[in-house]
Amino acid sequence: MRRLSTETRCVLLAFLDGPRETYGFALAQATGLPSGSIYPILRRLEDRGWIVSRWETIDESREGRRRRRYYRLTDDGLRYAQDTVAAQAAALRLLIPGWATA
Amino acid sequence: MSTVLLVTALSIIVVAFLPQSRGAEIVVALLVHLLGSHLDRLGPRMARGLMRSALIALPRDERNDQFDEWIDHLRDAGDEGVQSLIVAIGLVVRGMPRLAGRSRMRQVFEHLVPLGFTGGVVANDGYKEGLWSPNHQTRVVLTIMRHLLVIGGLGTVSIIYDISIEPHQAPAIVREVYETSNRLERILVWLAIKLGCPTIQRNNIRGIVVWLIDNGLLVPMESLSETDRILDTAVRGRDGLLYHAVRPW
Repeated sequence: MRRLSTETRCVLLAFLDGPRETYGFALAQATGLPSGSIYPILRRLEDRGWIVSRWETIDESREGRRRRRYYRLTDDGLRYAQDTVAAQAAALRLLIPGWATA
Repeated sequence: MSTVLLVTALSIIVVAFLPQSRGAEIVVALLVHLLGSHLDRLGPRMARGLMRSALIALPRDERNDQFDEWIDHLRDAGDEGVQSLIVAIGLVVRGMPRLAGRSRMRQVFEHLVPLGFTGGVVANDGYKEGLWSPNHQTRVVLTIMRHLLVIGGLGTVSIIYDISIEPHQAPAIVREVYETSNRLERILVWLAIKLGCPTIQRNNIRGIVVWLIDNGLLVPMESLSETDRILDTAVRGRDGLLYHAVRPW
């Protein structure tokens, strides 16, 4: 399996540290990664089957905002994150200056 | 927007022609302030416009979802003034090339790989006899391979060639094609898997067959017209399976 980038591992770690379901902006805040980097990483993780997404069901006109897309780890993603990424947590947090626990 | 351009143009003119003047500095400061005010007011609208324009790079069916996700991100990041524009630029400049590159490549491989398999079925020596004369066969296969690139590149699907196989036989045939595929075809499959093409997974022959059937490349016998059925008699492979070519150009 191809080695994951540090940014991708940080996103996986944010999933482990944060709430069960989260969304793009919250992940960007938690990891300190640039906004533009988050969504390509999420797509890649989704393609690998490590995360799944769902759209929030709201009445957009009544709420006055767009629906939100939530992501969560799959069983495979959780296993990989716990086996591989969790062990590197301390180092990853040092590498990302903007890191904050979600 | 035209006012913004006007203010910018005036600022440039003032800086260019009156570089030493004290008055010029004041005028420039004023103009820059005006420009800032305009950007504050127009920022969110410009941010949305920028994102909407950038989304053209994505396949059509992904644009709305991505737009909704970015708008939500923009709202959380503070959807006002220049800030929204800066966030939008970040999303577009850093995110779009990777998102679009991946989606487009995946789209290409989703089409190329199954069509490559279909080409493989046609090209396979075991099925040549009884289909066409050798010269005709070569021409058809080449035409298919050329169209694979065009179809993949444009991201469109069209019925280029129909091969009728009794549905329950299809998985075995495609599996056989995979097992006899050449290095290039296997590289295509590997790339498609790496890109996360949903219908193409290693050992997921069923996914490929479903794709072929969905796109009219494998036609169940029941769907053929009577005219087509007449031709069926000529198409039986060495293995005894039934093959049928429809509209080979």
